[in-house]
Amino acid sequence: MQDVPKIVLKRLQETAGAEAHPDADILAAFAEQSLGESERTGVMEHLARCGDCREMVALALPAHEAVAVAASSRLSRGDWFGWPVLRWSVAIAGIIAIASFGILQYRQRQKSEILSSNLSARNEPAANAVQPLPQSPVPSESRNIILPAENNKQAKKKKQAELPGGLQSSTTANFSVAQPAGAVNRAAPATGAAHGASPGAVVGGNFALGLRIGAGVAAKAAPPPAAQGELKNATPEETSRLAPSLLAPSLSDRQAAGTSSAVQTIEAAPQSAEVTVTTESQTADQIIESPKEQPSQYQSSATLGVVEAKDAAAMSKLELATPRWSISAEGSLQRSFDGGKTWVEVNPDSVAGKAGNAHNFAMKKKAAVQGNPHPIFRAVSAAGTEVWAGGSAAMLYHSTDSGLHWAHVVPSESGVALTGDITSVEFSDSQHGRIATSAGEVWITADDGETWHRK
Amino acid sequence: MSATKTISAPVQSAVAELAGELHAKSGSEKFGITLEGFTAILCDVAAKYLPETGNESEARLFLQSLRVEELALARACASGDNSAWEIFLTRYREKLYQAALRIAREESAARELADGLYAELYGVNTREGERVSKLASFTGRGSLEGWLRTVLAQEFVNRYRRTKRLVSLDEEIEEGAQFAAREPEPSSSADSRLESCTDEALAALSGEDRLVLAAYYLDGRTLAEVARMLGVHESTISRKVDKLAKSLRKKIVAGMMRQGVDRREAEEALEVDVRDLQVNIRRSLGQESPGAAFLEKKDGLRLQQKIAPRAKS
Repeated sequence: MQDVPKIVLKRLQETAGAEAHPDADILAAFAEQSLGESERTGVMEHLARCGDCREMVALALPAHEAVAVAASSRLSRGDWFGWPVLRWSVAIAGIIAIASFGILQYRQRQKSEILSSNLSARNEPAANAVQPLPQSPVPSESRNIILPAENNKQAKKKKQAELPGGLQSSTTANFSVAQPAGAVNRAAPATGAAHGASPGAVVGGNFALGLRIGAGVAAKAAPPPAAQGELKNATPEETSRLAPSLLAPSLSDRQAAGTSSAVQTIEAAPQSAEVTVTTESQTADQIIESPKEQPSQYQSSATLGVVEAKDAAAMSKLELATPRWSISAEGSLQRSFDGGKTWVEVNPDSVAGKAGNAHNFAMKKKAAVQGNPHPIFRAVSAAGTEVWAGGSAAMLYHSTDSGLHWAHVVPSESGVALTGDITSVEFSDSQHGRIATSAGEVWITADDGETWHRK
Repeated sequence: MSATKTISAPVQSAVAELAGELHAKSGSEKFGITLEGFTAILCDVAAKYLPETGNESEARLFLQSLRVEELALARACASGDNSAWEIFLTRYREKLYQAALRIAREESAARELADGLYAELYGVNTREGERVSKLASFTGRGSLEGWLRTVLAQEFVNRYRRTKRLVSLDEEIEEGAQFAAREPEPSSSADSRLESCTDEALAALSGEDRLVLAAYYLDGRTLAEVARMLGVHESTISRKVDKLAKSLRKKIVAGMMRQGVDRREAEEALEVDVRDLQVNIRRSLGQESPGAAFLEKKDGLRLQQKIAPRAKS
């Protein structure tokens, strides 16, 4: 242990004051940590000066080890092997065994049903569904189809490898869609394992879900009688619940477990639908450039309808759940609505840009191809629904609604703007924040980023 | 006792509001303490600890934090209720002796200590013909058991204070002139500056930090003991002591440099006085903390261990 200079000891002991000592009640309460903050501070102040009282407190400490040993020996003799404990532990063990067996069975059945339902659902009702649906313009469909690609940067390569193959090798679009869905589903656990927090798995799920919704709508257009009855009576909110349940057999495990992650994907959908694509997804290009894949387009336009219907419900859920934020190893911004179990990438750049026209789209795509695929984030700070994210090249985004909408912020003071990489962002509340840059500057705001002050 | 003290109106209303609930919770009924009696006890406690200016919500929190069950038991014992006394004995008798043994560390002294306290708790002292029990001063801020241990420790420390002169005389005879020799007070300007810088650096610390330093370095408590005093983990204290020692040294040197002493000189000044101070500490400990007799050797040992390598270098 580090020693202190002797003079310190000398001065420490010479500061003893002649004040009243705290009484035994106070000292006992102090040792038991049951004093209020101010009283406790006062007692510590006294103890720091008063050797007598320190001594009393120390002497009066309970026999910690002795108590612990006595307690444990008593426990080990009687209680743990007593009938009451055994009885309950047997019951609990039984329940756990049954539950885990059930879950195992359920998962296995799900997996097989995913494949079978993908195939059957699309081959029969979806084929019929193509007829009554109106022909929709190509751009909107392409956006919808791009959606998974947009969210899916982790699993992009995998998809690029598998999706085009599926599209080209199949004779009908229905089947071609089903094929990659299955593929991604199967890929999901693998990517999940590879990425730890498993954004890949979620993304895989997202992608699958997007297609599932298509299947759901197809079923709605030409549904089995029972399902139709349900859907007709359903309010929009109910639809959003029913749809996942209709789709449940084909959902991945994670999504079947709770609607929250389903909601999360759905929420991402309308956003991305408006967004011009910044990622240079080869998959997307291929889909855009292949208008001959008519049936798949019908499905995706139907997807848009469902997604919109669900928007309200999704939003209300969103307000309840304050997401967690993080930066991935690659420097992309991630958001989680389920306490960090699953993470979804958020790209403020694309949302903030929000230019829907084709020109901008092309420009952005070009820029993306030229080697700035997505910005590198270095720091994120969230207080309630307020989110601030900063990164390379003075990039700073601000969202007041948990990342639904973003604004690009350039802190400046008397005409001098922030430069360099942002290395840390700290917001203590919605108003007060502090940003540090690689150039060693510190920027402070006290009014939610309206004005900035450089230190 | 403190019945003469008045309590402010908001505190009074908080007491009135909570008295019924706390009375029921404390189980005072079985010791024959009426609601009125219990309210008086609460007023007594509130008068002792709550400031005159206390507001009502503060008073309410305070009252709710009291250990009313043990408070009722203690007060019932004090007023001579036999059933309460029986309960007290079954619950605390054994614990009291164990605690006394831990404090006195020796069988006969422990027994003496505990018996002495028993007498006081039961109240053999009479004041105007009335039995006065020490339990009447228990206020329920902490647990009754913790209070008993603290009172024992208090008693022990006081006893030491009474017998201190004898002990240190013995030691003086044993250890010869070392204690008797009075060290000349260092009085150079560098030393006074060093002192003022040290005081400044110490004053900048929180009470908790100074408490940790004093308990560890002055009293020779173990890290575990300090940790338990403060209710934190031992490793926290370990880190804290390390950090404090480093930062103090740095701060003192910085303070000295600000006063025009150069760094080398300042650092040297921190290292001098080794033997003087060791003796000073012993003397001061002897003066200020009567319980130090058995700590002295331990403490001196630790200082010597710490000082030895430095002295060699």
